[in-house]
Amino acid sequence: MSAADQRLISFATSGSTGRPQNWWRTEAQLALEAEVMGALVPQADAFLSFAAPQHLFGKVFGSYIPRRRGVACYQVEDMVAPVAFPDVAALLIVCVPSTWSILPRYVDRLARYDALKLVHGAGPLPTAADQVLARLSGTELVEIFGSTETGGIATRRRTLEQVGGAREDWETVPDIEILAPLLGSTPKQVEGLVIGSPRLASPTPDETRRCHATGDIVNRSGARSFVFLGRSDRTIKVDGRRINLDAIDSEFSQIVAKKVASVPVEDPLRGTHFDVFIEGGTPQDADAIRGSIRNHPRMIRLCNCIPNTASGKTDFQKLAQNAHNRVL
Amino acid sequence: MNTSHIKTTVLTCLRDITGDPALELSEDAVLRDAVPGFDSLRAMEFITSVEDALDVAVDFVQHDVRFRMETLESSVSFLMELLEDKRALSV
Repeated sequence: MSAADQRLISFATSGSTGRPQNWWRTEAQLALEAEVMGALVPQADAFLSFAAPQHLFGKVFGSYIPRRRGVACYQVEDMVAPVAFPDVAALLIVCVPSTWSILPRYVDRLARYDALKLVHGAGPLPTAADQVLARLSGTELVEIFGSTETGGIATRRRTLEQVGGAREDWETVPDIEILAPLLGSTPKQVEGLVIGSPRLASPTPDETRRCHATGDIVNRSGARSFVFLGRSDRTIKVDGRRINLDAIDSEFSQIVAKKVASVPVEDPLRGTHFDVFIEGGTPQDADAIRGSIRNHPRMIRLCNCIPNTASGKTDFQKLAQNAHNRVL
Repeated sequence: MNTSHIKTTVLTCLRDITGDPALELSEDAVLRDAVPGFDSLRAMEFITSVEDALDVAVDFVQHDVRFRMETLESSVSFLMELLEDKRALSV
């Protein structure tokens, strides 16, 4: 391996304590990531990326893959600025959750492309994606499942014919091995996904890893497929940005000196967002949180009591139900 | 619909998306500076919210909303234009 191939590159993500955690890869690993991911997406005359280039997904799909293919990639910096769509025949758009609030506004422009391909990553696919597919026949969408630590693990496709229907199971990419759950697990068995991969990042620059417990809770549906059910930790992705809700609760409770609990909520713009509950909270407490935080919640809810489970821990399930029902 | 009504609607939308019922803004306050957490995502939420509230459609190609909806005052003025255009087209 040349010196250039061994050059280390890191991508930061939110750790369990909220402090950034760097994940290291060699240049050769990134090139391999681009090769494997590139094989999953169609050819295009140009790329248009809404994914932030400082994150792995944006870096691979917005820089490495187009560079390998010798095509230009146009980066959207500000989603409320007019989008300059390149004048080419076939366009590939790199999407994150918030992209799907923008694309419907440009359907007439998008319909003029001979071929339009979409790749989505960095968070759940909003339901608005189906609306775009319904209006642009012949468009193909590839979803990427993965993380900063693992790179792309699995994919699934969505076409016009599937609009309104259930999502397919995730299919692992060729160089990924599912180590857990075991094949033959029943649908009721839900376990954490453990994978083997040559493309794993490492938490330190001098480490090499070949397997990784992702923290994703899945149901294994086949030799190379699974259904994603949720996370084992309280990490969410808000428009591709990882946020650890335990860290959020710790930070906010220190600010207001009261019990605080955050719960994830679906968000049509971001894919996922979160509401914050403050036990015995006052409007001044809400102001204090709004004024100090980097990660702004969807809503700050002042409640008399944050429910506990029988074991005395915060009942996040009940809180999530309250958030869904918009109960104050 | 007059500018006062539009201004009330715009403020209501900003209060809803920020979750701050007490949010107050001066006419010339730049939203991205004056509204907590007003990044591009929040700006998109704001635009979608006022579109739904006033039953108008903001054309991102024709209008650069970064400038047309930069302040409370400019947002009200811009939305009044959209409503007047809509009224004129429906005649």
